[in-house]
Amino acid sequence: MKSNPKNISIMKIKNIIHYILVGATIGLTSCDDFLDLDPISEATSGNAYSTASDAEAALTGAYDSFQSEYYIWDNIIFNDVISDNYYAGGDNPEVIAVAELNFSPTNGRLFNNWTQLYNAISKANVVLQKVPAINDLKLDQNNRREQILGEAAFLRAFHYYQLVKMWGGVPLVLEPVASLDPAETQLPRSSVTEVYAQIIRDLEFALERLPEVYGPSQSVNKARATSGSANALMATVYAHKPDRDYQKVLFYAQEVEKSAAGYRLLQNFAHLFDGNHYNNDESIMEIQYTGDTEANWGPQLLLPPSISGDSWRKFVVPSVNLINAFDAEGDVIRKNASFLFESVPWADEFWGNTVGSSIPFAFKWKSANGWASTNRQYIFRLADIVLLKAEALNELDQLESARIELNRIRSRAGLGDTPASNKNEMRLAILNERRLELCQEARRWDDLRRLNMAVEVINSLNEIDLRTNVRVDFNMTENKMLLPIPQQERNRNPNLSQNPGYN
Amino acid sequence: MCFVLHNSFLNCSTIRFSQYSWVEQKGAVRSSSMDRYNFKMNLDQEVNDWFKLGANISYSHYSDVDVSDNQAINQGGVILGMLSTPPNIGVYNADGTFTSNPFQDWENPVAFTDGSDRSYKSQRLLGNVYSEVNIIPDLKLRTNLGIEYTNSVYDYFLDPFRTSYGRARQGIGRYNTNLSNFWIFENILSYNKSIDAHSFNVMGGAVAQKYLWENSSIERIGFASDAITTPNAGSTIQNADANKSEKANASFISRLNYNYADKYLLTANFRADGSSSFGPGNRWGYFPSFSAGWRISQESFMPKWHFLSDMKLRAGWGLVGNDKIPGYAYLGRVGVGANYPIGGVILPGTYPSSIENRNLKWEATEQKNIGLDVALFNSRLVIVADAYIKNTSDLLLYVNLPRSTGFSSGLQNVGKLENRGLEFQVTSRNVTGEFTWDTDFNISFNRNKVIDAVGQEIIGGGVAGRGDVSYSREGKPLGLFYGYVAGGVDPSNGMMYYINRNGASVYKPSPEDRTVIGNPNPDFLYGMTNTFGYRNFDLSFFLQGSQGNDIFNATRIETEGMIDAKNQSRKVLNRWKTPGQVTDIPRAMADNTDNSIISTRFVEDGSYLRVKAITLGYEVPRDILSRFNLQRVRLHVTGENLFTFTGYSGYDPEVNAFGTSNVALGIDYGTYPHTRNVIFGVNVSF
Repeated sequence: MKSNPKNISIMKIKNIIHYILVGATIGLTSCDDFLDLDPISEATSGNAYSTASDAEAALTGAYDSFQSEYYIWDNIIFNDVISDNYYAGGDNPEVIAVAELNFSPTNGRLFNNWTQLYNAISKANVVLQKVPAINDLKLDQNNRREQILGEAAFLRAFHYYQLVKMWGGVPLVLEPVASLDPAETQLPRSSVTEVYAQIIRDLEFALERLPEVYGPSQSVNKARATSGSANALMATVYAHKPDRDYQKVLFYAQEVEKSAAGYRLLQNFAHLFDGNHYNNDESIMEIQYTGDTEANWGPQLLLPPSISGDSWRKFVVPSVNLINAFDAEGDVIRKNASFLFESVPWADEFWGNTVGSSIPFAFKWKSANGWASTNRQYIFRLADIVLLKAEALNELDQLESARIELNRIRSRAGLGDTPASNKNEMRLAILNERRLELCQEARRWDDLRRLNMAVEVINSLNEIDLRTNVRVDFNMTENKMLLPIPQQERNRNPNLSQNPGYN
Repeated sequence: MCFVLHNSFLNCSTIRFSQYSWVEQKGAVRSSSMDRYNFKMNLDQEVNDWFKLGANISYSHYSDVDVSDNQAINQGGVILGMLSTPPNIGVYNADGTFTSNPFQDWENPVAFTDGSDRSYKSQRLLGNVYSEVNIIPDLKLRTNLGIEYTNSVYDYFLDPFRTSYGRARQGIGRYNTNLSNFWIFENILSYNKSIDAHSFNVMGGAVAQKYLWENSSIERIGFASDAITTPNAGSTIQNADANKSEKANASFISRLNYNYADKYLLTANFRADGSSSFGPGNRWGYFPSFSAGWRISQESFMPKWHFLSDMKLRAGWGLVGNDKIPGYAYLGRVGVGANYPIGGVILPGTYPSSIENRNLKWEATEQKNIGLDVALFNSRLVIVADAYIKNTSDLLLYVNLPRSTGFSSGLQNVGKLENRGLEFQVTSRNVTGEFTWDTDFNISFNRNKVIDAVGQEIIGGGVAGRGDVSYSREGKPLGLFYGYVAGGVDPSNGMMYYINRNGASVYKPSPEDRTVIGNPNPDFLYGMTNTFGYRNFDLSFFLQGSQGNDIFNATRIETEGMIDAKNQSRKVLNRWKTPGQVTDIPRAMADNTDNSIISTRFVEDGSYLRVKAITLGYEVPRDILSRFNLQRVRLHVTGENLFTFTGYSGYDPEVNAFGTSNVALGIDYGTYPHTRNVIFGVNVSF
């Protein structure tokens, strides 16, 4: 068929108009709408904090930091392995360096811990800044808004306490960082006094807001910060800050005991660590794991082949000195609950330099469950606070009251009353009791440093490396009381000064 | 060993061109492999004298089995694992499980290559339809709609028996998918006009494009056996995730070409680009450019030298934008999945995942260049020379932040970068006739400098346990190696000593003693191809080289560090053993990195000259082909990366553990080397 030229031109013009319209619709109109995209699978700082459940989610995110590597086992490395309690074991040169008190500012664990703790703080800061501005009536039912703020303040205080005891004065970041301006991101260190003052401010703020219990469910009351956990942290902080205040330690320890939460020592010590008594009456606060996606992979690193199902050399090996300390007291109950001896297919330079030797394993976690354990770490438990109270009473020259508290812990462990007959003996008895009671619970290094005994205790250790039959020289010094500021962080923040003795 | 098959059709009706190709490669490391095939087809249809339609479609299928590199064995790196595993532990135990280093918790590297099934498969479909309408003579509207659809799947299975991780988890099955959808819609009007010696071409149009990415992953553990490897056979869901993201761009483009008698050539461009990566107020960037050419040889004042075939002077100026960052980069994003169990129930938790930067805007590169093209002796010798200066401002970079911010890095426009360079290219037909010999030679000199980094240092190139290698600082080139100056080994105690900032020798230098210890940027890069032809045979050599660049050989930190129970290289046989011994390799010292910090000890000259490819080809004579109705058949064999001349001690001087990062360059950390390949190919045209 032949079309005449006129038809063509009409068709042509129609088509052209059509084309231009289509082009204009897609190409020209609503260009800015086309480019204005909101994330599909993420929220934004503009819309993530507008309802009561948003506030709860932000708070849950802050609690989630308790499942970071620092709280899984690095706190054990930097309290128990670093001290006279455990050897590094395993194969990680950076953990071994910590055990040998050979602290390099480039040790990656320092940077990881620093990173994780500040990340945890940033999440608490978000809650503290955003939640007061959320306009949702549900948030003010049962005082929930104030509770959330109290919980976040407790978390921030707890993380800053970890930072200040490891590194001394650190930068105080108290609001979410929302600018990339170096003036805002590259903060210098605050002093130790300033950091402790902030921790105490946060805890006082938290104590005004936190309930003693949230309700009948223990798995809530032991998961969330309560006035009990805030008082426990207060007692700990006042014992550990450079200008110790044992009146305050005593006061806050008594506050813990007075709580309507009804904390009490379990009769059977073994129940604390058998994996069948989570969120028990002695627990003030503990890290929650349910297995599966919310699981603790730490036990796999520590438990022997018979439990973990693998055959490689395990980490965090109890020291000869620690086992001897249990045996010296005749402490069978706690020894059995804390260690497991097993013959292994590898050599251990402290327990047996030949394959097949029987060596002890850290055993306060009991099941590995294929890297997915439900075993927990206590954030605080009552025995710790009772012993702090004993220490405070002793330091306040109430020797007999201190003795009563100490003997509570000893009798539960099947031990007789303490023979300590003066303040100094009592101080050492309490310190030793804390060691036996709280090994593998990230307390030892703090205790030694708090009492200014770290240098003396470590340098008098007689640990023999069986490969060379030479006594290990740990060369502990005053400067090593603090860790070096991670070099990677100093690279990122030129305003950070290094601690003395490190370069 | 590779095999390539090319198969193409030529047809003059509507099917314009169609091609099929297939490549299969076995990797240098056990278990790694790659397989790729694709085909494409172009269709054109002239509906009538003013309307034309067309469509192109291409499909490609890619699959590989990867091995992990750029990591120590502790993190699963196979290359470093191969180097650092004691060779006397064997591969399998009597019960079929993999052996492991008795002092360490990792298994031998075969466990990483053979212990798991890993397969990656990607299918890509590219297609477009277009129409061209001649509205009036010389005025044309072209509309193009294109799509790109990519579907990638990663399958992983770790059996419950042979590896310790597999036993602990009772097997792991993972299935990850990545779906990417892209479309582009272009409407472009163009007008061509020639009046006498003047010719014009004017073009203007609008382009819209959008990406949608969809990812999902599942993981189950707890497998009864290794009979079923897909996740459905696992008992416990470990991970089940799906997420999506988008990015959109819109552009208005225009161009003017003017040409007078092929003597004066002018081009002007202007484009406005919008990107969803930037916030309101910063979305649009405006990028003009101009270029001019002057064919001097056409001028009447030029003497008519018979040897001068063509001479052209070129000059240009232009701005180019860059928004190659994720779609919502300017927003402070809040991630999900920070869940925590309270009351025995897993509660949903959120966390700030990126730092807000409302000021984020287009990166722009201003380029100035002049060039000269000279063709001599009937164009048998062509020389092209270019000089350029590129100034990039508002560089888009993830700047490492102090971790006290709660973030690891933040995307920023950080100041200015300058690149200046010279490029020369010579093409020569040395011998013509029955025997032919052609030579192509190119050499380029580039110098870069950070002009302004808004007062910050940009660091990168982290090496496990030793810190950051690469520093970019104002006034200096990108990615300089920064570390300590190694002085030597103290014969009295076998310790490395370092030269501090005061020139003194110390065992434990302080960070202030670090200085620039190497430059990964080459002085120049060069390449040369020689092609010989005789009758139906052709032979070509392609040489490639780099001169004056340093490599930080972090692989040697693993193989000469002597800090733990890892296999070491033969070099450590010369280590210090007794007082008084003079050597350049320090003593072995368990768990102490003092002798292997980032220092000049690990910096090496990375210059190389490589025979990149040699190809021998044979064209089957026409008279044979005509009997089979074939247009062209070519057989060829190519050898790639056959020889390398270098003083570099690692596997491959042409590596970077940090991929395409432009602030961490020239670092070798158990990096997968370029492989020596032999390719046999057949090209057939119908």
